[in-house]
Amino acid sequence: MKYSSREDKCSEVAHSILEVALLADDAHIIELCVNGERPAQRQLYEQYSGSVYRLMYRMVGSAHADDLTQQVFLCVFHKLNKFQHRSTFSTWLFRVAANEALQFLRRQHPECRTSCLHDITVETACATDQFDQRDLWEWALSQLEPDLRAIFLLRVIDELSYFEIAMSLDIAEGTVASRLSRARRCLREIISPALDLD
Amino acid sequence: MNCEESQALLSSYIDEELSSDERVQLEVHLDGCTECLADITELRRLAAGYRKLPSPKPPQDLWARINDSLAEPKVRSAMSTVATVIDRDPTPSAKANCLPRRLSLSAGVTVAVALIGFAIHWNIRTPHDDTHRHDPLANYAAQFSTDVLLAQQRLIAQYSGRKITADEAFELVGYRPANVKLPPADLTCDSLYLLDMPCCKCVEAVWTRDDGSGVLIFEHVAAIDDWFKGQPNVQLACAGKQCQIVELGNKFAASWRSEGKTITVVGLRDTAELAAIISALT
Repeated sequence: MKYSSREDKCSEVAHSILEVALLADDAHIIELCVNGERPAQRQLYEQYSGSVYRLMYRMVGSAHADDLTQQVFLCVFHKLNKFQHRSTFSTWLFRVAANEALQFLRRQHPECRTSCLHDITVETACATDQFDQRDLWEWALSQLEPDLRAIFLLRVIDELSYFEIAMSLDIAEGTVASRLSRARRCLREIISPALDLD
Repeated sequence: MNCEESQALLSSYIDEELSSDERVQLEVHLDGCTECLADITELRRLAAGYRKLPSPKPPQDLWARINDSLAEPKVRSAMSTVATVIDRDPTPSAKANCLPRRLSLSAGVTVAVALIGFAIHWNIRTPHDDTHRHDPLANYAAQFSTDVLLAQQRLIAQYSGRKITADEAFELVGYRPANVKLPPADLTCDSLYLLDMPCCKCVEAVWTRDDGSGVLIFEHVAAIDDWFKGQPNVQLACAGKQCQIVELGNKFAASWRSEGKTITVVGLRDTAELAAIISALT
């Protein structure tokens, strides 16, 4: 790996040390959680609930994000004894979360897979001057196919590597790359005309 | 490298996920192509725009709800995702908008059948008899044509069926069954069962369509060719597999061998659905 400066190298090393420390912390907390220690379960929840909820909120919408986040953590606590540390805990957690969201969306009526995410539509919102840039970005995201949306969120918002996304969604890294490229292309087509990015 | 090849790599480039060779080749192209360079700028603005969106926070009482659920008996929390989602559907308006009534009903029926199955399993199961004639799906097929739910219920009772997760399936049968994979887009995996058949342990996946009807996928190690003994059958090549097809009322079943396992799908509507399922399982 090349470092453009001494500071970059120090920062990278510090980041690696921090990651190792976090992994060690996770392993200890996980062990306690498997033993049913409620304070440890709460700690794990506090550590990861923000990420899981954010993913759920943008995958299934605010109306169902609470329930699916709850379901993810219940599932995680009940299955944690099966976690064999073949991946990081966060990758495993995102796998559970992404599966819950995708399964939920597949149960929905086709029209609900996107439109129930946000009540707002471009036409009505523009007409009432209620449509700010944030709404546009949120709405564009809701128009992506669920599989593409999940990959885009895991990469851009949660900053998972392609390898981690591949592990989380049980797909090949090449598939991650091609779907992410497609997701970005779709979002550009939706957003660029509105924001006049060109 | 031309622009078409470059475009396919831009997304991975801004994510720093290209190999060094690919990166060098792309950068050489970008050096002389203002169009692709502009696209990179735009993709970066797109990502930056999404990173600036406010991050929604989980409700403050969510841990309390999880804590309450953790205190409940395990049998309740082991119920399927769909049961939990329906039990705890948050707002009446959301339910009206996003959960079709037929889905609620079908999922409710599925859970009811699962619970009845468990009840029968615990209350009336008898010691297993290895000499029992192994015709697991012949009676099942006959029952399936008239009453799908009853057929499933009896199968679970007959073979000490119990609900399992994908990870448990792997541990219990010693290999990763194909039927724990995600189903095709228009089907949803509702539940997995482990059936203790005389030949071997069988993993059964229950996949549901949007209208609530089901497709059942059985996977065995044993090479069994008499699943539907006595039933007329035809051979059909579909999606690269040689399938044995048996008519079941207005639906049909298909069996084929794949990677040393026998896969049997019951409740198929047409060969397009069969092809989609074979592709998903392969």
